[in-house]
Amino acid sequence: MNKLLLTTSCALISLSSSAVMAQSIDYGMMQELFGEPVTTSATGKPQRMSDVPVTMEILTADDIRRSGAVNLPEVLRQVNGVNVIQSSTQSYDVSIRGYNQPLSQRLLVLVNGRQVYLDHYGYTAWSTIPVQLEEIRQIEVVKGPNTALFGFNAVSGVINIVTFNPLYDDVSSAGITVGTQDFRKAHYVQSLKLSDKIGVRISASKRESDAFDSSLNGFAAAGTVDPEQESLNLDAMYQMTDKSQMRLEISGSNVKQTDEISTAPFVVDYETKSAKLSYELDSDWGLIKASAYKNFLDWGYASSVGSGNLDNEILVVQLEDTIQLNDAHTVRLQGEYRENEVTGAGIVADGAEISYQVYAAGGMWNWSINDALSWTNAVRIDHLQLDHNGILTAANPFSASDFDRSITEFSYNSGVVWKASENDTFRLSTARGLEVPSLLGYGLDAVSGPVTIVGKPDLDPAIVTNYELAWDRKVDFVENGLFRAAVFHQKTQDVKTLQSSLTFPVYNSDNIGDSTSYGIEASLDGSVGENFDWGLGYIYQKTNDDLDNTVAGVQSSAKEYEKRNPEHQLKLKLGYHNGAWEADALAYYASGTEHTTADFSFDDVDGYIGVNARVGYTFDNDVTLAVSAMNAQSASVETTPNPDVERRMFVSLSKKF
Amino acid sequence: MRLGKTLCILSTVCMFSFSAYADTKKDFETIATAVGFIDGGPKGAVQMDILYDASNADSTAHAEEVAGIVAGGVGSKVKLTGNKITSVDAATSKVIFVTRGAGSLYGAALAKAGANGGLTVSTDMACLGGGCVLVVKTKPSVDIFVSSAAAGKTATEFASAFSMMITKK
Repeated sequence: MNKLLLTTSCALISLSSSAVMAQSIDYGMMQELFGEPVTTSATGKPQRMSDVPVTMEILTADDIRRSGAVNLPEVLRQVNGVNVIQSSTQSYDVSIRGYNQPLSQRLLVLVNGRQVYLDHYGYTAWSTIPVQLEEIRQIEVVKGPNTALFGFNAVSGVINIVTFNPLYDDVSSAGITVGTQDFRKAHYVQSLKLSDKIGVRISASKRESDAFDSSLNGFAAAGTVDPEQESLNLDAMYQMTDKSQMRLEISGSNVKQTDEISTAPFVVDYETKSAKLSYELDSDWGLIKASAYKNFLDWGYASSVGSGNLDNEILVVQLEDTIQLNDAHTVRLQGEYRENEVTGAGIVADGAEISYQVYAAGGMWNWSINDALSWTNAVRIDHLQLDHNGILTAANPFSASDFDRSITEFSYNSGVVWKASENDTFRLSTARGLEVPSLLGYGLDAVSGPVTIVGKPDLDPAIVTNYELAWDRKVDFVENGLFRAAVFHQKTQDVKTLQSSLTFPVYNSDNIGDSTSYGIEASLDGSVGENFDWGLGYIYQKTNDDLDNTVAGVQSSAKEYEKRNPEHQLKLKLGYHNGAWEADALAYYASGTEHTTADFSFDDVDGYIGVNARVGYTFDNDVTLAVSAMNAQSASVETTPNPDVERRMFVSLSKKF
Repeated sequence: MRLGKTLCILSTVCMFSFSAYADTKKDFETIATAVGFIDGGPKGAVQMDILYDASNADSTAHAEEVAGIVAGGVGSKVKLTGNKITSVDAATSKVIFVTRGAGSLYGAALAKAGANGGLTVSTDMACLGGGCVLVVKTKPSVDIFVSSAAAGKTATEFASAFSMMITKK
C-alpha cells in the first residue's frame, strides 16, 4: 500500500514538473457553450449528453429545484426507467430498469466520483448522502452495466451526483422547510471565494419528521422510528497552476430511520464520515486525475430479533489518464486500489475482521471513425483478495481458511454511436458488469438466540450482461421535441441472496440462479411556447427468473424479480414557468406486483398512481416561497408490503445570497 | 408582372440566403468561450480584427453584420469587440475573424495570425483549414470545428478537456 502511494506520488511529482497546458472541465461553462449538459461519466472523456455511447439522462439543477422534492430519490423518480420504492418515511431504494428491492445492491451511486453506497452490504442509504439538493449541479443517470468504467456494483446503472464547483460557482443559500408528518428541515450552503485560486463551499442540514403510521401492513411497530438526519459537507478547490487543481472534500452524516432488512423492519443508525483528496493535471501526457478517499461507517440496528453494530472502513486510491492520441482516437488508462474491512458485534464475531483488497486496471478507447460514427470500448479487470482475521462463531460452518480466496473477473462496455442525420442518433451497445458480494455476503457471522446467520466465503459475483439499441430523434411535430427509445436485453447470472432454512444455519448467503429481463422504454419531451414544457415516458419490462428460492421445497428467499418488477411504468411531467412563477407536476404509474413478506409468502400490491407537484414564487430579493407535495393524489397508498406511503406536503422558504 | 414575379423570387432567395448565413450573438459567444480555452490565449477584453474583402459585396456585408453584433462586447472571460480591416497587414489582434467571401485573403490571414501569436476564426465553414483555425456553427446545435493543420501553423493548442469536445478536421 505504501509502495503504491509512493509510486503514485512520484508519478504526480514527475508530471507536475513537466510541460503542461490548460485547465480542467468547468461544467457550467461547457453547458452554456454547447447548450446541453456535459458529462465525463459515460467514458471518462468530457462529452455532450447527446454524444455519449450509453443511454443516459441528466437532471439539471433546475430539474432538481422544480421537482419540489426534499430528498434525492423523489428527484430521481422523474427519470424514465428509474424505479423508486419507499420503505418508510425516509428510507428509499432506487433501481434502474427493475430489480429493485430493499437494500438494493445493483446501483453504483457516486458524489463527484466518490462512492456513497455503503460497502458493508453494497446498498445506498440515500439519506446518508451528505450533500444538499441546492448544491448539486447535475445528477447523471447512466442506464445499464458500467463496471468497466466505474467498478463493481454498476450493474443496473450509475448515478453520479455532481456538485457545483467551489472555484467556479457561487451557490450560497439558506432555507427552511416544514410539512406534514411534522417534517422540519433547515439547510445552509455557503460559497466562499477566498482568492482567485481558492474556492470553498460548506453546507449543513438537519431534518426530522414522524414515521408513517396510517397502515403498517404487518410491519412490526417495534421496528419503526421517527426519522432524523443531519449532514455536513466541505468542498474546497485550489487552483495550483493554470493547469492543475487540488480538491478536498470532507463530509459526514448522522441518520436514524427504519430500513427493511430481509422482509422485516429494523431501526437503523448510520454515522458516516469521509475525506477525499483529488488532483487534476492537464499535461502533455493527457488529462491526469488522481484521487484517494476514505469512507467510515458506524452502523447499528435494533429489531425484535436482536441488535448489532459494525464499523466499515474503505480506502480507495484511483489514478487515471485520458489522452487524446490524435484527432480520431482518445484513450483512458486507469488503475484502482481498494481496501474494505468490517468489524463489529452481532454482525461478525466480536473482535473478528472480514476484509478484502481489490486491485483493478482498465482502459477505454474512443474512436471517432468519422463525423457521424464513433465507437467506444472499455475493459476492466478486478482482482479481489478476501481475508478473515479473528474468531468465527461456534455456529459458523466455515473455517478461517475458507476465506483465503481470490476472485479475478473482467468487465467490458462497448458502444457505437451513429449520428444518422442532424435529427437522428442511434446507439448500439453491450456491456458486462460485476456485482461483487458484499463483505457481509461473504462473512456475516451472527448468532441471536436460536437464529444463526452466516455468509458464504465462496459466494460468486453476479454477472450482468446487457445488449441495447437506442434511438434519439429530434421531432418537429412538437416544439423542441425530443423522442428517445431503447430496447434492451439483460441477463443476471448467479443472483445472490440471503436465504432461510429450517435446518442449520437458519440464514445463509448463496447464489441461487439466473434472471433474464428484456424491455422497451420510450419518452417524448417538448414545450409549448416559452412557458410550458412537458414530458411523457413509458417502460415495459418483462422478467423471467430461473432462481431456486426454496430449501427442501420450502420458500426460503425473497428474490422473485419476475413478480416484483412492475411490467409497466408510466411518467408524465408538466411544467410552467413565467418570470417569478414556477409550477410543475409529475404523475407516475407502476403496474401491480407481488412482494415477499416476512414469512416468504407473497403479497399482491396493486398498480398505483402517484403525483408529485410544486408551485414556487421567487421574489425580487432572491427569496423563494414554494409549496410542494409528494403522493398528492391520496392520503395513503400501498406501494410495497411495508407501511403505506402517506401524502406529504411541504412549505419551503429559501434565499440565495 | 413577370418582372414583379422575378423580383419577388429574387428577394425571397436573397432573404433566404441572408437568413441561412446570418450570424447571431450566440456565434460570437461561442467563439469567445472557445478562445478562452486556448492555452496561453488572450483573456479579458479582446478587440478582434474583422478581415473582409472590400471588393466582395458579401464579404463587406458580413463584416458590417459582425461589427454590429460585437459592438457592445460579447463573451465573459474573453469579451470580444470588433475592428474592421481590409488588409492583413493592418491586423494586430490575436483574434482575426475572416468573413465570408474573403477567400483571397485566407493564406495571408493565417500567416498573420501565427505571427501575432493568435488564430483565425470564422462562422464560414469554407474558411476552415485554408484560412481559419476555428469555425463555429450554432444551429441546429453548437458545433466547433478546428483545423489541425491550421492550428499547427499558428501553434494554437486548446485545453485537453475542451479539445476532446470539438470536431477536428
